[in-house]
Amino acid sequence: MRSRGRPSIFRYLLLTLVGASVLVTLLLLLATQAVRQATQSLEDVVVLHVRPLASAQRLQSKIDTLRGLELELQQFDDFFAVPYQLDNMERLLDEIDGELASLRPAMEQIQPLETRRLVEHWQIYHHAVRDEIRLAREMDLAGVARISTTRSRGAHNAISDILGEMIVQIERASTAAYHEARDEARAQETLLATTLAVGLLLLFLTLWQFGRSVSRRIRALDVAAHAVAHGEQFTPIQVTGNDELADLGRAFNTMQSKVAEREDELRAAYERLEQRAQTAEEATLAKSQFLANMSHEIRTPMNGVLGMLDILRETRMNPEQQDYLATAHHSANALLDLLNDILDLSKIEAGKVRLERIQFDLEQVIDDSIALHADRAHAKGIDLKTALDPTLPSYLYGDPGRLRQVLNNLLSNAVKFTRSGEIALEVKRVKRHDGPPLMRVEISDTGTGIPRDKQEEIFEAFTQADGSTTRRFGGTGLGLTISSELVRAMGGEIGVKSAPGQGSRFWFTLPLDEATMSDEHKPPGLAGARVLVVVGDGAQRDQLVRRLESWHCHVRAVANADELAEAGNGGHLSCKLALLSGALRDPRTVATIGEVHAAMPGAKVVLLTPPGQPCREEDLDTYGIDHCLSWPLRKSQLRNAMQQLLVAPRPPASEHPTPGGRELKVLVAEDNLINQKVAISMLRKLGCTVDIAGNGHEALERYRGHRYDLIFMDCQMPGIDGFEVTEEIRRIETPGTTRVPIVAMTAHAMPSDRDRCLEAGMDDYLSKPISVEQLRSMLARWGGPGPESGVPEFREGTA
Amino acid sequence: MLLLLCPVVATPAAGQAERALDAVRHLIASGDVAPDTVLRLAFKQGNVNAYLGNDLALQRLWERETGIVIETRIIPQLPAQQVIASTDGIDLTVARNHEFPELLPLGLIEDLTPLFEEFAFPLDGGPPDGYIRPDLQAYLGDRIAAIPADGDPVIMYLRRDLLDDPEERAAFRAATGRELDVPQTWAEYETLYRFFHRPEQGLFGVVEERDPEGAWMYWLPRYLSMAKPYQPLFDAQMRPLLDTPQGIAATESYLATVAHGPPGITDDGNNYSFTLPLYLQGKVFAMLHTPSASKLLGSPASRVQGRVLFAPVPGTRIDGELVRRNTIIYGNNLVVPAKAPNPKLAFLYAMWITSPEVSPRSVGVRGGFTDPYRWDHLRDPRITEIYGAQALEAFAASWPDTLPPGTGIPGDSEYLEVLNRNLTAAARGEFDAAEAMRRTARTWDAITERHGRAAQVRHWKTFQSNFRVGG
Repeated sequence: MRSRGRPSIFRYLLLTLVGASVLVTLLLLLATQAVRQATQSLEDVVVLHVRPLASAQRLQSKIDTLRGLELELQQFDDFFAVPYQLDNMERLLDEIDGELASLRPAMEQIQPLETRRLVEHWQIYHHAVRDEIRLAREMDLAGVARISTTRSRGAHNAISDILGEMIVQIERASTAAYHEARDEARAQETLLATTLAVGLLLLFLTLWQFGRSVSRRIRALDVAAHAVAHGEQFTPIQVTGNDELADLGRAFNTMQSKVAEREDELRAAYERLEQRAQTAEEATLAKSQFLANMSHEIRTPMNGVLGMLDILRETRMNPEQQDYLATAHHSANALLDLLNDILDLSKIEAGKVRLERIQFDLEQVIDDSIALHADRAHAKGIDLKTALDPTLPSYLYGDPGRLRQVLNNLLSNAVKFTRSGEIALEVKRVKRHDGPPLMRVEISDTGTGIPRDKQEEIFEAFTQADGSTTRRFGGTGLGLTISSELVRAMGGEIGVKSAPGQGSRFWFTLPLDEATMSDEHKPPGLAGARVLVVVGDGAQRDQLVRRLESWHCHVRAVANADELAEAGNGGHLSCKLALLSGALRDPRTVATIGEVHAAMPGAKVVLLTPPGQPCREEDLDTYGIDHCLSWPLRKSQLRNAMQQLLVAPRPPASEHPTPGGRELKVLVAEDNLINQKVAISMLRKLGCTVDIAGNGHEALERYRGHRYDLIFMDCQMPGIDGFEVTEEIRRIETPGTTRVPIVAMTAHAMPSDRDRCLEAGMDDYLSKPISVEQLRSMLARWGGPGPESGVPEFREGTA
Repeated sequence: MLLLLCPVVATPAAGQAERALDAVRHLIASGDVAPDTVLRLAFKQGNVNAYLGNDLALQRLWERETGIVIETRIIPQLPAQQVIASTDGIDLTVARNHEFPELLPLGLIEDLTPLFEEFAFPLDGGPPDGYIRPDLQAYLGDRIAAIPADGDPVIMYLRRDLLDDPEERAAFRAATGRELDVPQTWAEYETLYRFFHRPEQGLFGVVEERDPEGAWMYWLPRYLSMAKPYQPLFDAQMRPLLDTPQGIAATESYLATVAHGPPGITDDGNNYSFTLPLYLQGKVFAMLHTPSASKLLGSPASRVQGRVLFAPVPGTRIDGELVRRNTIIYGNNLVVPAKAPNPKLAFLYAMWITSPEVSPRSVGVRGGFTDPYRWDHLRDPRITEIYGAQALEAFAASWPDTLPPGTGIPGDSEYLEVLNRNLTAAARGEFDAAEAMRRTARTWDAITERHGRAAQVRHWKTFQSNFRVGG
């Protein structure tokens, strides 16, 4: 509360306003006085001069008019015209009398003598005109003329002279009076202007002084506030005066003191939190490191186990041994899946999921996923269907690996929890009003279903709908958690709709990031190919046609042999390839094959058989079939088959994957003896000459002493590790010499490991445990003449 | 363009004035009349106010409505033949009724018949709204020579105050053995003015114009009433009937006033501008004049305001029947000179100014001698106020007895000039009435011969066919 009587800005402004009002009032009074004086002066001029002047001029005019009527009257010869003239003359006489009566007092004041003379002559003239009127009424126009000449003329002339002189005199006097009034008004105007200027100057100075004071203090506050805002040390502002701004300044100082205290407290708290966060981060890093180490430590023996099992599978065994081996291999793979899941979850929790954004074939990813589970589903008698929205683009941008991982998880669960019935995978485009379209994937099954109260929990780690599930169906319970996190990381949502005994429908959405098909994705040799499609199922036929047309094939599609006959129109079809759907031993299929050959002599025939009814090699020649594929069709299988049949026959597969069948010389830097043994066994089996280096030094020595086509480098070795060895090799390599490809072969599975391999100069990456197929792939990729310089594209070898 | 295709007269339902204005606008729009055309009017001093209005109000109204500017010329009280023949550029002027028989055949004025038809101007009509006696005022035979604009029969003015004065009545009874009353015959009229002729008291018995210019005007009503149904000027062979007993009696009645009137009454130029002031000053008992004098008598300057009685002119008792005959003496009606630059415009101005809508403002001015010429004028309050109801009654009562003025045949001005000259000479005492008539008759015969008797006989016969006693 402000105490009464204290100076305040409001009061100061109020006082200034009062002062200004007083000034304005004074000015108004002065102006009013000046206007009154000027008005009075002008009124005097008007009353004393202008009005008499106008009256005198009016009088002169009327007397002249009267004289004119008088003279005109003498010319009249028709008595009927006379009365009107006389009426006008009498009216004028009355008007002049009235004019003179009203003018006389004012005129007597300024020109008494002339006024008296004027009145005397007017009376003479008036009587004369009256006499003329009287005579005119008797039509004595001669008498009228006589009076006009003898009496009226002289009187009129005298009046004119007097009025003329009076007018001149009044004009002079009025001019002088006007000049006097004007000078007086100008003097008043000057006084008023001076007073106004002084008053305005005083008002301006007062307001300027006040404004400057207020501005200075506000500026000080502003500067202090900005300093504080920019983190400068607070210096209390100097407070002057005792008004609201002074209060504000003091309050500001107090507030800043409090703020400084709070800042000190916050800073201390922040430092404590930072210390804790650092501790937590260190713990997380330690955990990640532990996981990496564990992964490495587990993967290393796993590498040995799986490698040895792979090698052992190539040896001759009796059926019982083969069964044992299969069980061991299955168990090892399950252990590897568990390991991979734990590692994925670890990555997700550490926020280290790294998503790719590359162009990929959506249909290929779906085909791959379906194919992966098709056998298991078929084995359980489950029908596995797919439906792809035709409006979806063929190619998308995104992370196909992660998409595939989510699809596999969901399909794996569907197959796992479905005893009979079917599993359907549906992919469609979803339009949105408030954003770009989405891709929605739905995987529905006819399985056990999930209670409503469990549907949220199943996406949590280590949780399955029923505690007995793990025991009954196996699995880590991490699949849905990982899928959920991956979908969210990719910008989508995931959910489930299910009821016990009614199956489940898992769904997820992802942003539809459309990509155009680049040339590298266009299958060579298929563009322009003429293909006949004979598929009875309309949906399957349409899907197949769309796929073929996306490869720029010319497609003719029919449902059956009858339509085929119509399409052929009695002649030969010009297609080079026919895709026929039907069971191999179905007579209708056999007949259709025959009709195709008849219609298209020399054409290649691919039979598309129902799921679980593959062709045998000997069936091909028997039924006149060139290739056989089973529904559901995988895009890559179809593409390869068509290329094989339409482009050129592929050379027979070689056991040696290297270019030209050349024996490759490979160095394996690996400290673990088991892993050494696995690598040697697999690489030799793949036709390579293998040298082993047990540590980094040995690896460098061997590199310096030999020329290798490829080096597989373990990252963690005693002494010099794989990274340092690689860096040294790259340093040793001279420009112009062949750059030896180095493929990391490590149990480290964290993304940071891959980055580190790249930074060290390695070209590719294999994660342990390795398989024969992985090695074959690497040899195929890097076993040829390497690039002279530069770093080749690095791909994670997870085939 | 639409305007050009429209009829000339806007709508039959529109008033005469509006139709005249519409026709003017149409003429301007069609290019027949240039917008800057000046309409030139020639009027006598005494009827300027009537045709232009007090303070030129009617002129301003016309100019505002049509955009056609009016220019007015004052012409002297001369025969129209002289004025029209000697003045160029006049679109519209006035002519007296008796002048039509000379002006039209000589081609000095337009035959207005086609214009009446073109502009659907309803000239014919009777009481209560039409023009008064267009047969007398406008027609010459079957042609229309003028637009009626001044109804000028003669009426009698008597001093009511003297007639009603008991002493005068007693004195008259003692002197004549009869009651003092409004005279019905010319003889009774003479008895009255003789009775009141007291020059020594400043009262004259009678004042009628006796100047040479208008002698025939005050003689003819007397002459026409000397026979039943009327006394003709010629017989069927154009032999003048002036020197008959009827002609001589009429002349004697005419001459009798001179001795009972003011001195100088026979002087040249002493027309109504000499007689009217005397009557207004209360110096005369009886007067014959057109109705216009009543306007002056009622003015504030008149000394006999409210003291005058108005009556139709006296007649002659023949076989016990009073034969009262009148004629149009001045009658300044509107004619379009044959040389008029804008005859249609002039005609439409006349149509407008004489319309029921505008003409009351024309006739209803005090300063002018234009008299009522439409029946509806007699009901107009303004006109009634200026003339007085009794004067208008006398005016209305005069029309049934009114016959065409003048001789009505070619050479009218010559015939009348001779008559005027001899009547004036007789009035001045140069010879008696019989001699005046003999001289006149002789000269008229000569005039007839000069014009061709046979032709004059035909004209006379035609003219006489217009003589319709009883209106």
